[in-house]
Amino acid sequence: MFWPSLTALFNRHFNRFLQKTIPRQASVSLSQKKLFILPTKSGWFFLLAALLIWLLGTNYENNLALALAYFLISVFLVSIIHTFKNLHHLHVRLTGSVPGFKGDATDIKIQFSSKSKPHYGIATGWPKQSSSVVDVAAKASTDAVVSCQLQRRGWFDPGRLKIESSYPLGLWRCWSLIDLDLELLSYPRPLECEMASMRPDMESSQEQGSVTTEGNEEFENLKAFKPGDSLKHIAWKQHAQGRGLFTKRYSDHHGQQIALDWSSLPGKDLEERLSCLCYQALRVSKTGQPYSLQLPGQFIPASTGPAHLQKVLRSLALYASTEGTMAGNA
Amino acid sequence: MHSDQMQLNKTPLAWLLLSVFAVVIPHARHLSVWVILAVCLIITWRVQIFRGRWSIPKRWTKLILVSGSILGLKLLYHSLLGLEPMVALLITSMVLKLLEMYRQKDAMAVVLLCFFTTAAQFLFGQTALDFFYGLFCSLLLLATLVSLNRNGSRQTQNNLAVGLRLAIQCLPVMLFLFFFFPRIGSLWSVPLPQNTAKTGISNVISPGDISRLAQDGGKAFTATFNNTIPTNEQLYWRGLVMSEFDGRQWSLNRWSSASAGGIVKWQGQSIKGRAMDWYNRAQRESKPIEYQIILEPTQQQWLYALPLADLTLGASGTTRDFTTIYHTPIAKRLVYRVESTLSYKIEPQQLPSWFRQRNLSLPEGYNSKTVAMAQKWRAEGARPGQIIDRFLSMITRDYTYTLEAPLLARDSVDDFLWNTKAGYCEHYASAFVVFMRAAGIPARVVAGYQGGEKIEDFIQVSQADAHAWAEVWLEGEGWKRVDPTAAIAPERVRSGVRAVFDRSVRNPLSMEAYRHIDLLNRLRLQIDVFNYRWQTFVLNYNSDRQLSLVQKIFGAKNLWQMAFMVSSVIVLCVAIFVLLAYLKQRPNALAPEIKAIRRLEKKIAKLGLVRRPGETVSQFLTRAGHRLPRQAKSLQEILLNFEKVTYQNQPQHLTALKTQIEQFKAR
Repeated sequence: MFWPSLTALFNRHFNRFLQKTIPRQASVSLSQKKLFILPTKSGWFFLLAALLIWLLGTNYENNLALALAYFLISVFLVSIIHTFKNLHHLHVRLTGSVPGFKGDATDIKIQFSSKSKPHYGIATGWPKQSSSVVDVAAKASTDAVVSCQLQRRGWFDPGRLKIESSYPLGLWRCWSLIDLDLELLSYPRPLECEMASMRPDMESSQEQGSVTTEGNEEFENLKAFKPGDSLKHIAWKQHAQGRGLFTKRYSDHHGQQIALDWSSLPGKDLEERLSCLCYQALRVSKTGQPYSLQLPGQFIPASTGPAHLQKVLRSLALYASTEGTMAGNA
Repeated sequence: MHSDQMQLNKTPLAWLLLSVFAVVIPHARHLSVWVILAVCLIITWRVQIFRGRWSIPKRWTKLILVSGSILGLKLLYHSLLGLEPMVALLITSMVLKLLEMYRQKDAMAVVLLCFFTTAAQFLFGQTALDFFYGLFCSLLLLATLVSLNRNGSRQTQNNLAVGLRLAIQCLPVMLFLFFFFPRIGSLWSVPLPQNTAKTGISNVISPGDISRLAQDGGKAFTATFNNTIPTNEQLYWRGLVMSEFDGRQWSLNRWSSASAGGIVKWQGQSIKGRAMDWYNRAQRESKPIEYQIILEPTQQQWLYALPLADLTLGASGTTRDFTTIYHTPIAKRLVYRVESTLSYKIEPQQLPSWFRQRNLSLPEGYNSKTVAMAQKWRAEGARPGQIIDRFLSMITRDYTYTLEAPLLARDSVDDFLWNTKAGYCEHYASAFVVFMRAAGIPARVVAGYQGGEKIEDFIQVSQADAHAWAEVWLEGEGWKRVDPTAAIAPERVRSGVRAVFDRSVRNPLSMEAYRHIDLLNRLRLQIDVFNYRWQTFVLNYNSDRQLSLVQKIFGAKNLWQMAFMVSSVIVLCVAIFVLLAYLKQRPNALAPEIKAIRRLEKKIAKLGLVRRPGETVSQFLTRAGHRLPRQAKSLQEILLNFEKVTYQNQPQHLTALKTQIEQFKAR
């Protein structure tokens, strides 16, 4: 009863302290104030070994064993400076992140750069999780990728990132908990579901598809190019054959717009609905048909292409995700 | 990655195996051949596991390996409690750990065991070579640690260089701790090396023993005199007194052998009653000379010293024969101070009859010709002194002094005196004592060293200086040294063995065997000098010396004062370091005009008007002017002066600015 409340108290104070010393910044230089250092388990054992050797030397009145014990103790002490210096002045910068679906892992790209000296064995990861190790050469930069589990829909803040190193001897662990101002966009997890609203359209498109494969004339799907047609739809093959400039007639064939509608999914809760819509959007975007999204209070007109998909997914991700859920994770 | 869960890569493994091999090498001095073979086998096994040739041992194989090695050690060493079996166990468990070393965590355990093994190495040898080799091993281990901690990344940097840099930075801290960290004595008794062979003079002397020892060479002890070094003729380092003769070999009398509970006056023991009377029957007749002896371990009890010796050493004692002994066999290098009175009389008045009898007895049926000759001289009415002189002048004539004496028949003294007439000191001493005893003069053989090699300011005594001589008891004079060797080869006593035999040491492993090669001889002397300094300054550094060093530097009087001084020095150093770090960290001192503005800000802040972050001085002062219309004018002037100083580089307005701010009153 008492202990958990004490640790909670400590955590609260520690978080406040962290926010003060290491504020949110997309680019951080690890200064002295931002670094913590403590012996590792191996370090404690090393010290114990030194003390045992000291005991041996004292008991045998053996000066050389004593000298060895003092040597080990001084190694223990001097390596503090080395481990600290290895992280000191290392510059960390967020270079990019990719949105992902809730529950999936997404990659965060960060870049380490060194001002003057090399930095070795820099491990990057989340506290209490495994991490990847990189070296940073002097006056150079190295990229590192940290994978992050998206636990919540909307803007997801994975919290503080741990940068640590126990180079050179593994006796001390120097670390920093940095907040790179990470905001990862987390789409709803796609959930397979009935696509009632678009069933007829799907069928018709399949029928037409069978017709075109039966008919041998590829020109059937082409129309003459006119300015304003998307470059992506130009039939480059025919153009290369010297037959002229044509546009593939996608829109005409799959002409029917599909409406992804919130209200078409009654009887489900908010997250389920969003997951369904997400699934449908992904599904439809593969067929190339234009689709629109109707959410309560939001409408995205029909269109196609990856940018459209992003827009749709983004509004699904952010729908009804409050500021509170975004910041509530530290 | 949590580094201790990482798999071991090739480079760290190679470093580790190299270090393991390196730390075990010096232990070959005492390890059984079987242990060494096992170590080599297991290291090979680990390499083969890494190459994928051999398999990792299964659980039951490991069980067999562990129980097998414990049983094997038990059989080899009989008990696991001594120092050697414990070190063998340490080494065996360290190499066995190699077989189940998969992760970095396991490797760390092996590294720590390696450090222990290096520490244990010093228990068997403390020469400078041992030290530097240990330092080298530590360096390898540091490189191994560096390599282990770069396991996840490319191993481009030289691990050894990193380790070396670290080690060099550690040296000042280490030296400081070594010299100033308070020394406390041994906390509990510990097992000492035991199975090491006894060295030096043994407690039994047969003809040929001393000459063999002299040819082997090797250091016995060094002596450092406070003042002048006595002449070579005076340097008779007494060790053992032998009064038991079985016809062929001399041995300690069973009553004087301390381990058999002989008569010994131990240091600190009070002299009460008649039992200890004998101790007072030694008369010292000159001023004592003082010196210090550093005795190499002999695994025997004898403490060599010039007669008549008084030792400053706990747990030492004086035997009935006025030799000095230690309470246990000497297993590690021993340092003791001695006061010797070179002119003395031991028991000049009378010998107790049992004691006299002991020093007159001869075995029946041996050396009849010698006994008959001695009795004939005695019957001719000669006094003891005359018999001694006559004997000595007899051997001066047609006897030879040689390291390669011919083998002697059953009646060794007869054969030597009347037949071969060639021998080394023990032949002469033995023959002399037998002759004297037959003539009714109490006599005994003394074994020890004579002379020594003077190197710089100390005397180094080696096994080549091993010597045997005689002591006879003369009424009124007590026990008197007679060295028959001095009669046959006066050079041996006057200038040392090296003057007589150019190449007395024949052992090819001993540097002393190459005395005739000038370069090697000079090198040997250099090494000896270095080792001597090493011993006196490093190995003999103890709490007393620490205290005197601290007294010299800090003027402390006892351990606590010293501890206080040392800790205050440490605290001072840390404080200086922290201060320097702080000064380096602190932003540059503020310009005076900024300081003045800060004062103004404080004054205005009292009215609840605080300068916002990001607000410039002019913005703030303008805002303040709106809020405090009565003082808007003075604020305006302050701003004007501030801008002149700061932006127009007119420092002459600084004083005006300061006074204005001083006079400003926030209302």
